[in-house]
Amino acid sequence: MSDQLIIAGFHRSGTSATAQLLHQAGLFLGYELLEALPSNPYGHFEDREIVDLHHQIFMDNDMTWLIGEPFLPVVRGPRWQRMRQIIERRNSEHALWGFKDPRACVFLTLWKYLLPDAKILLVYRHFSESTYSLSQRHSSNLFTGEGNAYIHKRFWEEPDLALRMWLAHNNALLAFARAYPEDTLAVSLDMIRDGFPVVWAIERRWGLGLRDVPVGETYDPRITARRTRRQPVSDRRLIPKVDAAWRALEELGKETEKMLVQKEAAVVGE
Amino acid sequence: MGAAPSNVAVGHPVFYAGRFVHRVSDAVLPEGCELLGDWDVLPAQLAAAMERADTLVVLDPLSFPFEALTGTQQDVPLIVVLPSELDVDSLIAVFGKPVFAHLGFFDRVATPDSSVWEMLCRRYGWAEGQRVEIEGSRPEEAAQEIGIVLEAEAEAPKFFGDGSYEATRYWSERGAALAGPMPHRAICSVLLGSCFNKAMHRVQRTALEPQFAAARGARAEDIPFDILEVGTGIGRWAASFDPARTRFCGVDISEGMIAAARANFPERSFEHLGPDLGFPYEDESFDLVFSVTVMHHNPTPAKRTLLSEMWRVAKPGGRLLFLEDFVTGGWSEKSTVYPMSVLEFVELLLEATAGRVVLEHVESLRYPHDDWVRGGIIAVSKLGVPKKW
Amino acid sequence: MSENDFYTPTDLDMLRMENELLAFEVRFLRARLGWPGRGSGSSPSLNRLAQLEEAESDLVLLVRRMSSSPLGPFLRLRGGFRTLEERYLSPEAQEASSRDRLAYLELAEQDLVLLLQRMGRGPLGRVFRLKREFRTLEERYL
Repeated sequence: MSDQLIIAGFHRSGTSATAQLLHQAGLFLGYELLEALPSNPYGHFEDREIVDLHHQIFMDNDMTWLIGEPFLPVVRGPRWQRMRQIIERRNSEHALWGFKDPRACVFLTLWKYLLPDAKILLVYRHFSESTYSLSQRHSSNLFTGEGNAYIHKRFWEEPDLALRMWLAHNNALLAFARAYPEDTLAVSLDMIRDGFPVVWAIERRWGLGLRDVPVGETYDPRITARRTRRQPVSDRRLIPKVDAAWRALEELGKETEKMLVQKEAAVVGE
Repeated sequence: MGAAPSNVAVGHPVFYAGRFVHRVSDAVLPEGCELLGDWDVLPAQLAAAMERADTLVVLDPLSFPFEALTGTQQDVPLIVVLPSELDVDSLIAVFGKPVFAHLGFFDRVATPDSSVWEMLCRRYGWAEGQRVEIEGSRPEEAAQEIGIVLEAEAEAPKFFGDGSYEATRYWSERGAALAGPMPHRAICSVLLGSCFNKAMHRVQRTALEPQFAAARGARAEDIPFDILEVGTGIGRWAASFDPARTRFCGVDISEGMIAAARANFPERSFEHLGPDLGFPYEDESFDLVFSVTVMHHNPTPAKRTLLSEMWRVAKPGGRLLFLEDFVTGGWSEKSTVYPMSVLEFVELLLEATAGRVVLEHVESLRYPHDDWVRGGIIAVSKLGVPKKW
Repeated sequence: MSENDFYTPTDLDMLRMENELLAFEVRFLRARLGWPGRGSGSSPSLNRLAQLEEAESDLVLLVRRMSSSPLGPFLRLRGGFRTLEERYLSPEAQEASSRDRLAYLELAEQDLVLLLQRMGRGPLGRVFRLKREFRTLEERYL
């Protein structure tokens, strides 16, 4: 029997750094890990087969990865079949495997349906940081002519796109966490920056057999400096929804932090 | 309650007396009714009369050209008076294919003979509320009795929102007042005439029945198919399911409506929902759970509860099906509808089901009297593995 | 009102909701019929455009890398490679790309496929395939 750990978080939320950490800890993340290409600029540690499958389902539904609204997909037979093939190969060759893909936020229930025992590491980041990073990157790439102009233009022409995407992805994560609280562990990028022992927490919770790798060994805090800023918004109806999602994410993060307090208490007790 | 708005369709009952027109003309028909004889139903005259009709009472079905009713004329609700001289077998032989098979939920049959009614009702799946009970067997007697029934219906209270619309209270009061004496009026839109309600039902039925069949899928005929309708009212959609092959249950917040539903379809099961809106069924009990024009009458918290309950009682692999209005104008004092776009509904659905659904069908609906597309159907399948076998 | 009459909706919200419903239905129909991304006729879907844009940017990256590599001068002896440089790296390329964007992108996709096929042939193909990016491009476009 294999175990599975999926790393899910919105784009620019720290999923790549987390994936690198878990990769070092012994989590198999795929046979063909993507590097950043102009057409997939955030593609570190993403499994090509799984990213392609997610793209195909988006395309089936006439969407791109710019999901800024609740996503209720048609999933055609061949896509289910492909998911099963991907799972069967990994289950037969690895006792523990997983994948990291921000797109997975909106596909978690499909994977969970085929992998009832899968665990999810939910990585989240404040919306102002994520959306700033997204919007700035795409606006400047549009200006310099790098990468996919159609994608870049959408961030330029639709003022709240990044925020709506943050909301849609994180609401999907929150819904999943509500449905499967025992199979979800939430960490924020802030917690990771502050040295939260992610691998230890995963092992404490689920005992998957990962090697303990201190966060500092793989994570460079200079790469994503903390940069809280005010969030521009055009449609003010988004504000209460975004606030509610952020509060709910922080509640989940606090649950995870309690584990550290318990650890420290146990250490003191020893 | 309030005064009728100015956009209620104006029409009047049309009585077709056929060969008996001279006898019926002496009877007391309600004011404003139109009387037609067998020479008055040439195509142009019939078309003109049907334009003016909000109900067509056929006192002499043996001479009426049912096949001449085409297009929007078929949306006029019928009351067919059964000839007393024919037995059940003869009635079926003469009227079965051309008339009875086409009678829908908003059409009615008048006969003094209860045993004839019961046999036809069982054969064609009619609701009890589709019977107009008359005592006289002669056309002039039937005309008089039906006239009284129609007059009472026209004077029935009209339930509008009064600026303080609250779903449970409103529908309970409406069900209590109307579901017993005139069940069809309990569920009809008060802003539109009876023709429009029959037309809406026709459009909805045309769209829903393939979805009901799709939900059943390739299941063998001998495996029972369990169905739950949420907001069943007086059981309008129970007639779409063959009781020999399906187990139909309906729930509603109105006790009056539930009582009428039970009277309409005694073999089906109907339950009243309490104020917490919890369904009295175990998890994973139904193959198909659906609602028709119910969600949009409820505020968001009630929608969330209803959607969660629908998901809970659906079997893994089962279907949830919704037919709702997704295009509405702003809230007004007379409204009983909460504006809800399709994406707002999808958001609620994903929240209530934690995304454990995939999309199976989407269809927009345009009703004959509307200039725009108003309604829509959304069908999803529930993901999951059965908890029990 | 006759079918040829016009009307102006007085409620903008209703218009938005109707558009949203119809767009949702169209998206479902495309998914059900297996249309999206394969674009037929003269009006490609947005996803097809996104696909083509990705192909163009991957081609530009590849040609630029080849051009600036030590093999660049040798490659420029071949007419086909010079054509690719002119078409996709020169200042004139920007102008050409804006004139008929769709045709330009479709040509870029075809050129990328041809280039990858050429590179994948022969003994050098094995060398290229040692690089992960090349294998990714092969699997995506061939």
